[in-house]
Amino acid sequence: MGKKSFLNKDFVAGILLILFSLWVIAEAQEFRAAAERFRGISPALFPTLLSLCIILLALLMIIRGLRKGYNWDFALDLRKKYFYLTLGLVVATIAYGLTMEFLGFFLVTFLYSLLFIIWMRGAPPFRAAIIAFAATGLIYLVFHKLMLVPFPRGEIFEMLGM
Amino acid sequence: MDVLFNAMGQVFQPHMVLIILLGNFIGVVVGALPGITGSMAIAILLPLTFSMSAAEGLMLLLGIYPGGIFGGSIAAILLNLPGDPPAVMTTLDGYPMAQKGEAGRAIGLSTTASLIGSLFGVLCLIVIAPMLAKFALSFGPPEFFTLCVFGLSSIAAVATKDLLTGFVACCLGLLLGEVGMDPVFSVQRFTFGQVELQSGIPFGPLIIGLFGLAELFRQTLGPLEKLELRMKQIRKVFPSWEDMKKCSTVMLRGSIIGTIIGALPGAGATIAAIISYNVTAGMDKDPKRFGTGVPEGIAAPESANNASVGGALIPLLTLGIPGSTITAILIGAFMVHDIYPGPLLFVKHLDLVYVIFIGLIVASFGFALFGFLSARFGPLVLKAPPGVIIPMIAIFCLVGAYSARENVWDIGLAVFFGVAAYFMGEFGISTPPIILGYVLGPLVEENFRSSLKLSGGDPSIFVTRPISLVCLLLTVVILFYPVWRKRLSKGILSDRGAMDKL
Repeated sequence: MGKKSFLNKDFVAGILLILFSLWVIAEAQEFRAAAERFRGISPALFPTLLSLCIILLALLMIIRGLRKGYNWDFALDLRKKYFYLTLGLVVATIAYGLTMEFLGFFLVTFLYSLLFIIWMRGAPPFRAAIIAFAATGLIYLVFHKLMLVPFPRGEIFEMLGM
Repeated sequence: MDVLFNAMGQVFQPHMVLIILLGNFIGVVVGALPGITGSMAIAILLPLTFSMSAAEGLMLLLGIYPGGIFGGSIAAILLNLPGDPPAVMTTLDGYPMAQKGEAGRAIGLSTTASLIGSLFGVLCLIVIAPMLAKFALSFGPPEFFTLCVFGLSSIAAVATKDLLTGFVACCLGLLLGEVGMDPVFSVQRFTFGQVELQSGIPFGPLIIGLFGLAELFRQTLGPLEKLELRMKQIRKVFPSWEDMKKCSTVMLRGSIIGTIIGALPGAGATIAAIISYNVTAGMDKDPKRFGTGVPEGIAAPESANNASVGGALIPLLTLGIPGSTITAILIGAFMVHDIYPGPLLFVKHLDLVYVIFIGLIVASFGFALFGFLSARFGPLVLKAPPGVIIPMIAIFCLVGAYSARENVWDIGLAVFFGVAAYFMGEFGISTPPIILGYVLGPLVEENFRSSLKLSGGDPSIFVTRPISLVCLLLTVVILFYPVWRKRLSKGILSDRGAMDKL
């Protein structure tokens, strides 16, 4: 048995899961009320039962965490340079979604690929640009031309009259 | 017989064969790339099948499935890096054989064993599935509910390292399946007033987030090492007559083990490979030679993990229960075309069932072809720098998430699930049970509510009907499985550190 500590993954996860389950139960009461005028098995029953199961499992996790003691090692480490790469990937991915309609599929996909290849040192800038261009073209061909997925053209081009 | 000939006519059309081969090629390539799994490839490519016919879409994905499982063995043999978890056992004898300068022989053996295993699994699927479908027609809501509970318990117990967090993941997945409009009362559940969530959480962005993006986030949190090839002679790729004589029994045994394990919900290719390797080594006169580069050490896991493909499709097609992550994703490919796997599939869409059977046989030969070719050309793909691969996969994930509903909102949803899955992984909560829970969620709830309606609210209906009682008893048995697994892992595996690689 390790030294007692609340800095334990099971303990923290258990607490978070209980809070989440309590929120689910509270939320379920709203649609329980909405469905009360009908006869039948309430739509709130199953989510409530599941939440109770999670609470039970979370309690077991909390007990296990307390018995195990300190366990707070994460791959995600703010002091490591890789953290910023991952954070950058997350931010860029969100930015990709947010800017897609404004900048259009071509520009945003090309820029996203190009910047990431350079940032991850996958290739020098000129080669990275060729790879990014080829990848954008390939995705356009497969998804749009073959699979008929409509991509946003880009509001910026409409504003510029292009 | 007419159905069979019609199905053959469909599958052997040139464009269908090309689709299967394309799936095989993608499967072998992604299977060989460490960190990218077959399930990830199927998840990413699922949106591509939306505009295809059901048969075409399924052929593409069913080409990837066995191809991906086989592809893992290439990196396992050449680099000692299992491209896919089921290939972990192949590293034990495959890599030492490659170091001896027999990489070609090892890949050839792996290809042959995979082909035999895959064909055996498909043949079992063809023979057993129709019989099981007839039996499954006698299932009512209580039976389906308890069967789903058994399936979810199995995956929580077998496919995860920890039973407790495995069950938590199942429950979270079931809750995700609750989002959207209630089918009976038409009340919105957990939609936050968002129109985009009224029809539930879309499958594509969810799977891309949980598997694709979460895995990318994990990959970027460590050093991106360039994969160095320790290339030796890869000239002789077809197994010799002596090797085939040595390994024929091993391959047959591995195929049987793989099919049985594959059919159990929650077990899958990795467990099949481990058990097959352990049984083969245990039955050998000199078990100590295993791990030094013996052909049987490659034939046993490779025949088993590929046989599990046919096995895993048995519960999917006959009962509508996905027993693994990949089959859970595959069920989405059916649902997109308004086809629901289960006993009625054999009544309503028998033609499609036969197309799947024949398509799988073609796919088995297809990946074998790529297997022999990859012995020569595979190393080129493995040479691609991670700094190029990761951005390419990321962009493919994002476009895949967008194209599921042609909605930018879904990209945000995929990122949300990717980040959530990453943090859940940090807390030891694995994602495969979440997907199974999500897929089975509506089915579980529907049958739960129907059962209670049938019994007038009496929950004893689940223990008074024989089949549902058996399922519940099996669920109890599966809860004790981790104890057995611990004992198993203490055996031969512990000596060679294979469990560490898992």
